[in-house]
Formats: sequence, C-alpha cells, structure tokens
Amino acid sequence: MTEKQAPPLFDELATIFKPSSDIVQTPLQLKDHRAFLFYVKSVVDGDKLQQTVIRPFFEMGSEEDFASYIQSLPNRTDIPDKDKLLIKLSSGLVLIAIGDSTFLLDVRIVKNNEIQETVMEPTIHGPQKGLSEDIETTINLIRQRYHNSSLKVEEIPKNDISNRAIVLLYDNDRIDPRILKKIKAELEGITNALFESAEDLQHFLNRSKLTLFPTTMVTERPDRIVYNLVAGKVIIAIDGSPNVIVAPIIFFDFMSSMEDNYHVSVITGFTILLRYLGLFTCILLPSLYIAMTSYNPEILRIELALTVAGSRIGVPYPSFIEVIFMLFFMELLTEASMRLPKAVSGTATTVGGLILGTAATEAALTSTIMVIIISAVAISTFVIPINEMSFAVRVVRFLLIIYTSLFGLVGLLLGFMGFIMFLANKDSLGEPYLRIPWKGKNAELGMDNK
Amino acid sequence: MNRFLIYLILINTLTNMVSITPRILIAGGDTGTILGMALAITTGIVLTYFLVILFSRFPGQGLPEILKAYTPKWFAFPVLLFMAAAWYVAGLFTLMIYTFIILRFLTPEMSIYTIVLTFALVVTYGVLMATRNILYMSEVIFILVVPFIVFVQMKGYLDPSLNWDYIRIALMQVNQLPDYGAFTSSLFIVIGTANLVIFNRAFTTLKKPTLKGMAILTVAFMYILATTYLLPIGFGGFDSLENALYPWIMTSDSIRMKFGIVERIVFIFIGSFLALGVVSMIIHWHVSIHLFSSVFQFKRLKWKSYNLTLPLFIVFFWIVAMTLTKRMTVEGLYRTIEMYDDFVLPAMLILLVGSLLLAKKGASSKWRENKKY
Amino acid sequence: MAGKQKILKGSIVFILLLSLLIQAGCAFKDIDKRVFVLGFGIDPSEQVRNGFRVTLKLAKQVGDIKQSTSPPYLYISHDAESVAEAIHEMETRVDKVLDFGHSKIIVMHKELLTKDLDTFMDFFTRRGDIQMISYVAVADKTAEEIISFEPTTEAPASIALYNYFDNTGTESPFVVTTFLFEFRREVLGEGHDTIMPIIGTDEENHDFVIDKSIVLKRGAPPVELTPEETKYFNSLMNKAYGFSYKIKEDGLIMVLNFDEIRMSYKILLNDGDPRIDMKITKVGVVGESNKRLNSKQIEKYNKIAGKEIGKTVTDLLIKLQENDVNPFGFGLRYRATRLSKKGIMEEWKRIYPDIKFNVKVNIELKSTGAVE
Repeated sequence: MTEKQAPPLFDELATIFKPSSDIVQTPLQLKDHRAFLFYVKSVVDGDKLQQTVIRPFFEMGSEEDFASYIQSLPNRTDIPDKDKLLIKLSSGLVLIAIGDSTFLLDVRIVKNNEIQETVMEPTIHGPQKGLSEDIETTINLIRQRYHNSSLKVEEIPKNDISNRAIVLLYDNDRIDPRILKKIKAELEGITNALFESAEDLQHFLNRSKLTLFPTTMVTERPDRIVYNLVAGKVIIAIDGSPNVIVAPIIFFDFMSSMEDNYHVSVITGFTILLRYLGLFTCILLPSLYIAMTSYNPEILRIELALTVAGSRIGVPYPSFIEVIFMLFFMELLTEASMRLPKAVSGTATTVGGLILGTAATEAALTSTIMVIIISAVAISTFVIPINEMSFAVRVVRFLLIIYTSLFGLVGLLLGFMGFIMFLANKDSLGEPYLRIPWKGKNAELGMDNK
Repeated sequence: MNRFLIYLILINTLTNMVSITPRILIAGGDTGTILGMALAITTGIVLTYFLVILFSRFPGQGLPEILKAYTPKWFAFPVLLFMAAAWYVAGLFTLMIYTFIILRFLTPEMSIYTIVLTFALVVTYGVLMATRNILYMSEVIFILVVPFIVFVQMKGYLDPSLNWDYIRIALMQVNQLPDYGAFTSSLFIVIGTANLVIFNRAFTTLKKPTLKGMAILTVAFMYILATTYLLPIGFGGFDSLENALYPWIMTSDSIRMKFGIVERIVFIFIGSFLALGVVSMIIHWHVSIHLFSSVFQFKRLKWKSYNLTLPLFIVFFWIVAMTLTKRMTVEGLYRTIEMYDDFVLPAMLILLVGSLLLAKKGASSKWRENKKY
Repeated sequence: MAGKQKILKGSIVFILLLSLLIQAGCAFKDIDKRVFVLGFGIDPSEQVRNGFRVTLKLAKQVGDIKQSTSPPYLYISHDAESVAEAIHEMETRVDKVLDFGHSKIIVMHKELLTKDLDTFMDFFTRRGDIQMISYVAVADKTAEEIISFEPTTEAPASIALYNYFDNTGTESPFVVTTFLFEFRREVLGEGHDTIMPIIGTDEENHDFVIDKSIVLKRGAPPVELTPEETKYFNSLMNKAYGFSYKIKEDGLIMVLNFDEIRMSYKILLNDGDPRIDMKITKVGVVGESNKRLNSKQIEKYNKIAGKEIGKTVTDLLIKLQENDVNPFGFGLRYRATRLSKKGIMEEWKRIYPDIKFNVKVNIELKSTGAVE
C-alpha cells in the first residue's frame, strides 16, 4: 500500500509553505492507482476541483487514462521553474502528480471578479459598469469591446513582492512602436518593491519626484479604454486594481468626458465650452478678486466696485488673506466630505458651507462677494471631469494666488502664462503635454526625442 | 506652410502693435508713412519667402549649425555674435516697453524692480524651455489671446465715435515719398521669420512656402499694419496724436464696451498684448541665448553634470535688463528703437540672407566634392 | 534634463520667497482703503489769481447699498494754481487714496473755455489712469454747483450724470455726448470743432436740465446752441433717436417722430460757387395729430415737413458759418478728400466763410401711427 509515495517535490513545497494552514496535500487512491494533489485551499475553487479532477479520477479505469484526461484539460499549464511554481501555487493553481508526471491545473477561484460600478467618472449616458479588480475579468471586458486581432495583451514580468500580473494592452496596428518601447523601458526601470494599485504604479511612471500634473491617466471606464486604444495608446492593467493606466496622455484628455461622444454635437460643444470656462474660473477667479480689489479696482464697473468696497467695510484682513482663509476652509470641507461616510458627509457640507459662510460674513470676517466667489470656485472645480486634474488645479490656484498677491494684475497674467508654459514644457512619455490636438493634423514639428 | 511658422511670424507682428512702432509710424505721418508701410509689406513678404526657402534647405538645423558646417570660422563667429546681441536687444525693448506701460497704466505705485521681477521668473522659465515646447506654448497663447485682440479691433472699427475722416486724411498722404523710419519699423513688424535662425531646429520638415500660406501672411500683415497705424488716428485725430506716447493704449481706452463685464476695454487690451509680449520676449531671448551659447560654451562650468552656460547667460541677461530698464527713459527708448530699426535691423537682415546664401553655396560645393570622391 | 529641472524649480521657489520678503506690500492697496473719484468740476478760482477751483465728487462707502437712504456722495473743493496741485493738496484731506480710475465726468466752467484750455485739460490726458471715455461737459452755472448737485432721481451707486450720457439710461436728442478723447482730438486738431453739452438745473432745483450745447474752437469765442439747434445738430451728427418735429398748417397740428436719420454731404468746389450739398433722410411715423389724417396724403405731409426741416437746418448751418465754427467737421472732410499738400487748411479757412449750403431733406413717413 505504501509503495507509491508522494513525489519529493511535494514534500519540499509543503515545507516551504509551512506553517500556512490552508495548504492541502492529499493523495487520491482507488485500488492501485493513485494521484497526488497539492494546492492552497483558499484560492482554489473546490467545486471545480471536485468536478474536473477528483470525480474523473474515480471514474477512470487507469492511471494512464486519467493522466491523458488531465493532459487534455484546457486549464492545464506547463510547469515552470520552482520559483515561478511557488507564485503560481499561491495564486490558485493545483499541482497534480500521477505516476511520474506532474501537471499544473488552473482552478483558481477569484472572489473579486465582480464588475464595479463607475465611481470616479460617472456619466448619465454610456456604459454604467466599470472594470473589475480581477485582471482576467478586466481583460475580458476590454476584449469583449474590442474584437480585433491586432489588440495585443502582453504580460510584463515584474519582480515586486506581491508578484501581481501587469499587462499591457495595445492595438498593434495603431500604436507608435517608439512609445511602446519607451513604456516597456519605463516599466522595467521601476525598481519599487510593491505596487498597491494602478494609481500607485502611475506615480512611478511619472518619474520625477516632485510632480503636480499627472502624465498618465487612471481610468475605470471600458469605453474610455477602447477610445484610447483606437487612438493608439497603451493601457497598463495591474491585477487587483479596478482601474487601468492610459499612456501617453495629454492635457486635453483630462478635460474630456466620455459623454462628449454620446451627445448631439451642439450639446457636446456647449458642455465642453462650459468645462473650459469652469477650468478658467476655478483657476483665475480667486486671484482675479485679489487683483481687482487690491491693485486695479478701476477694471470693475463703478457700481460693482462700490458694492465690493462696501461689502469689505470692517473686514480686518487684506484681500489675499481673506481669499486664502476662505479657500482653506473650502478645501477642508471638500476633503472632509470625501473622507466621511456618505451618511455624515451631507451634514458636514451643510454645516460647513451654509452656516460657516453666512456666519463669516455676519461676523465681518469676509465680504459677501468673497463667499459668492468661493462657492463659484468650488462648484467649477468639480466640472473638471478627471479627478486628478481637479486636484492639480486646486494646487495651481494657490500658487497663482501667491503670485497675484505679490505682483498684482500683471502677476496674475504672467502667473497664468507660467502655468501654461509649465504644461507646455512637460511631456508624457515623449508626447508633448500641451499640444493642441487639431483633427487631421499631426506632428508638424520634428519629433526629435533628444 | 507650417502653422507654427505662421504663429512665430504673427506673434512678432502683433506684439509691436502696442509698442513704440505706432508712434514711429504716426511721427512719420506727414512724410510718407503710407508708402513706407506698403514698401515694408512687399519687402517683408519677399524676405519671408526667401528665408523660408533658404532655411528649408537645412532641415532641423539652426543658423549656428549651418554656419559652423559650411562657412569659415572667422566669418561665422562674429555674425552669430552680432545676431545674438541684436535678438537680445529686441527682447529687451519688449521688456522695457511693457514695463513702462504697466508702470503708467496698471500699477503706478509699483517699483520698476518689482515689475521686472514679475517678468523675470516667468520669462526665465520660458527661455530655458525646449525649442519645440516654446512653439507649442505660443500656439496655446496665440489661440487664447487673438480672439480678444480681434474683438477689440472690431469693436473699434464699429464704434460710432471713430471718425473715418481722420483715417482718410492719413490715407491721403499717399503722395508723399516713403519715410525711411516708417519703412524700417514696419519691416521689423513683418520680419518674424528671422526667428528661424534657432527655431529651424524644431522644423525638421520645413516645407517650401505655399501660396495659401503666403496669402494668409500678406493679408494678415496688411490688416495688422493698417490697424496699427490707422485705428489710433481715427480715434485720436491726425495732428493731435503726435505727442501721445502710447497711441494704442489711448485708442483702446477710447473704445467703450457699454454692456460688457468690463467697461473699459483697455485692460483686456493690455492684458492680451502683455501675454503676446511675453511670448515674443521668450522667443527673442531664446534665440539670443542659443546664439550666444553657440559661440561661447563653457565646458568646465558644471554643477552635477549639468552645464551652467545657459543659466549663466540668463543671469547676465537679467542683470543688464534690470540696470538698463531702471535707467532708460521713455524718450530714450524711443530714440534707441528708432536707431535699432534704422541701422541694426537692415544690417542684420542683409547679414542673415548673405550668410545663408554663402552657406548654401558651401553646402552645394561640399556635396559636389563628396560626389567626386 | 532632470537636473536642469531641479535647479530651475529650486531657484524659482527661492526667488519667489525672497521677493515675498522684499515686496512688503507696496502698490498693494485694498479696495476699502481707496476712495473713488466720480467726477471733476473745474471753475476759475476766486482766491488764487489765474488759478482753478477743483471740486471732486467722491463715493462714500456704504455697507449695504440697497438699504442706505441718503446718496452716499461727498464733495471736496480746493483752490490752486493748477489742477494737479489742487488734487495733491486734496489728497491730504481724505483718509484714503484718491482713485481716479472710475471718474467719468469732467465739468468745466464756461469762462474757462476762453482761457487757455491746455493748462487744465492737460492734466486729464496726461494721467494714465483717467479714462479717455470720460464725458466732458460745460456747466451752466459753476461747475462746483453742477458736480455737487444731487437730483431727486439719483440713487446710491448709480450716478445720475453718467446716465444722461452713457446711452444706457435716457436717450434724448437734446443731450450731446462728448468723450475726453474726442475733445482732445478735436481741440488739438483742425477742421472739426468740439461740441459739448451744457449742464444746468431746473428752477426748482430738482433735476438736471441738459438741452443746450456749446461749440468750442480754440482761440475763438465759444458759440452756444439753443435746445432746438442742439436737437437738430445731434440728430444729424449722432443719429440720435427720438427726434420729433411739429407741423402747424391750416389748423392742422401734427407731431412727427423719427427713428431713423441718415445724413450725407459733399463739398463741391468746381460746380459753380463752392457749396456743400447735404442730403438728409428721415424715416418716422406720425406721433400726434389734432385732426383725422388721411393715409393717402402722407406724401403731402412729407413735403411740408421736409421743407420746414430743411430751412431750420440751413439756418443752423449759416449760424455756425457766421461764427466761423464747424462742429460738423466740414474742414476735416475737405482735407480728407484731397491729396495732401501744404497749406490745405489755410485754403479751407478761405473757402468756408463764403460757402453755400444746399440742404435737401427727404422725409419718409411710414404710417400715421396706429390710427388714421
């Protein structure tokens, strides 16, 4: 009865995995043929294992039959070297030994493969479901929307601790091979030990330590992914994250919502216009207030100037402190309502927004005009469709306030130009960041990537 | 024609609308500005055409590379140095003019140092940007700003207070012989193509000028020059404008937006032109600093593997700019610009065309030699 | 590349911080520390020989404009030898900075028109912060009285005088509007004389009355136009709306309202005597009549009105010619239609006193109103 022992490999593996309690090393035995299974219980689909391995074993007549049956299963994979094998086992593969041969079967169970609702970029029209935390499902979702043999799915070997899969997706016919090469080099160059999510990986792709504007985009919308695949961009997916990275990306991509493609042209034009006006408002308005009240009140119409002057009576601080003070509270409010549970955040907004605002003017801490400006700024910040950009814009706003307080209206103008220059001088993987993407006109300038 | 080339040319053209140029034109009003301008447009178009053709023979190369490759050293270095200085001064003029305008119309209480400092930060960053990125940036600014400028001008042309009789008087001076000062300062306006001396590095596929491109440029030149000269006269009078230091600022202050958010258009106007002025300054100084660094390259001056030549030049630029702006008077600036336009500009253009022709000859003979062996 | 970025960023932050220290708030002045000048009044001074008395209208700051009852304005006057001096001395009398950027009206005393205009008008065009779109007007009494007069209709933060001229409030053909830039270009130039409104007050001192105007030519006595003449001039030159005309004939009294007025003229030298052919077209409707009108007779009314109006216009032109002023800008047109040569304006000055006027008025009544 004991003439057939488990292969030595199994024992070796068992010692490595110890003392994990979810290791299963079990022999199957019927009369004189037997097989050995080795797997990690918590990541293996028990039912599937029972259906595809254990039951056939007892129904087959011989070890050879069973071996050839296993051999022909679609989820069988080749056995890699030992290091890789350990990774595979821990991700839910089953090692089977029949006689002298060993097989590796993929019977993993993925609990996080449900498809997520879109949270970051909700739209009214268009797809409502996002991606999944499971990379297989994510790739499935993308493939199902892009039936084309030129869509390549390429796994990037990465040696971080968690050993999660990182996959590049791109349309081979549309992508610029130089960009692909660059992205691969970038990914290989990352020496970080652990990625938690797509956002995390994105930070490492941005390269320099001090960055304000994202040069790659994180998205959760399959329609945006397909849109970008067609535009010849690379999608980087990482297992365990419901978002993927799109690269290279330019500034204007952050200002587009997927809904732009789902509306009638005039409506789209209107919303785009609205969005850019919102962008300018939320960057410029607070600084404009400073410039107008403290440097050049003659720009305002006389009626407005008198109203502003009147509403500032009794306000103890100069305009820039007033602005920074109010903006600071607004930022706190935004931040608080994001972090709080949904049930409480409503209260926080009401208390903060309404009561604080009214009280601050009543107490003559700020002028009434200021409260209007701050609310307008807060609202217009949320018009920017991609969250990361609106975060960046919030920072830019403060820088611009400082520059304006120092140099007045000229400072505002030049500061804003500086912001444009900063964007124009950036590049996302060799692609100029602030280039106006005219339709049908591509790079007229030599793309010498020196 | 490459749209970036058109931006490069038009930014140079537009920036000069508020500068000293209209004053020079108006000063020559009695003595043949109209014909001077017409002559300048023709010359400008012809020069633009030839410069683009010449530069398109050396794709992706700036003047320093071209000269170093195809002309003797004793010729190349002085020419480059002269041009570097000429471009620096052109940028400096823009800085001074806008500093004076800001001081006069926006923040009279601010010190000149502070105003120059406001520019210094942004312009320094701009000048050190990559050549290609400057072009991208100028496109964005151009598109943001030009609608405002066109709006102001349209508003001006449609204003009932604009007296067309004054404009007609100005046009009736057509029987005067062309004025040299008006000619050269108009020429300066239309000769933005010369910026290719460095910016040609970004144009790796510069095509020969097309008919469409040249037509756009001709129309734009004519419109801009005519507006520069005639609109202030329509608002300020023909004889009474002579003592105005900033005719265009006065003109834009005369245009009223009855129901606009801002009633006084002058602020929109100054703002728009300030933005263009900064871009033009960045372009000029970018050209200048690269020409300088092509002549002097301090290889030893390094800090952590980064060569400090450019920052050194920029610091030098600002020190000179700071001292000169502090000392310069408006009248002095006017005289200097007049001198610059009258003497330096023609000399520079002749040198530029001449050296390019020389290089072309050198290039073709080199090519022949290569073929022989 | 990365090193370059780093140096750049570091130095920019450094300079910014440094400048924060140096620039301890110069030129930074909050709006509530400024007091806006709303208008200037300039009179000849009684205390200083050859001097001026300058009156400023200032806006007081009121916390809540909607609820304030009294018009929040205050007025200060000062005598000095020049306007700039007076302003400087007044700066010591208010606790806030005087901000001229919002001033939109300059009222001057009639006597000042005959004095050397340059000495005081220079101040306004030389300063960069005074709007070139300020209105220039002449006071019927003293400028001080006019500028500090508060009509009953004046509300806080809405300045009555502005509303007369800016074409957003009242639009009357009796009100001529002259901007500072027009004043400057016409006073300093030749061939087109400035016309300015005369601001007065009514007898009960309730409201402004602005219906007369004055034509100013440098070095010549100014010519006052009556309300009627002002109305005619304004409707021709500025196409002012609301021009109405009364016909009295055979017991028929009829008021015509015109809403479209076109005027063009030509200066003819070679066709007989030098003359100006003026063609006027007025389009309008019947506004009031004491009799029932017949639509078919509109032609007749057209003719009657045309003849009458033509005569009045000719009278106005002749009055202007006799006083050797020309607010229509005939001289300018003369110069504008001829190639430049020396002495062209002297030529015009010889021609103008003898030139003939040939006014042709074409009235087009569209209807008799809503009833016959």
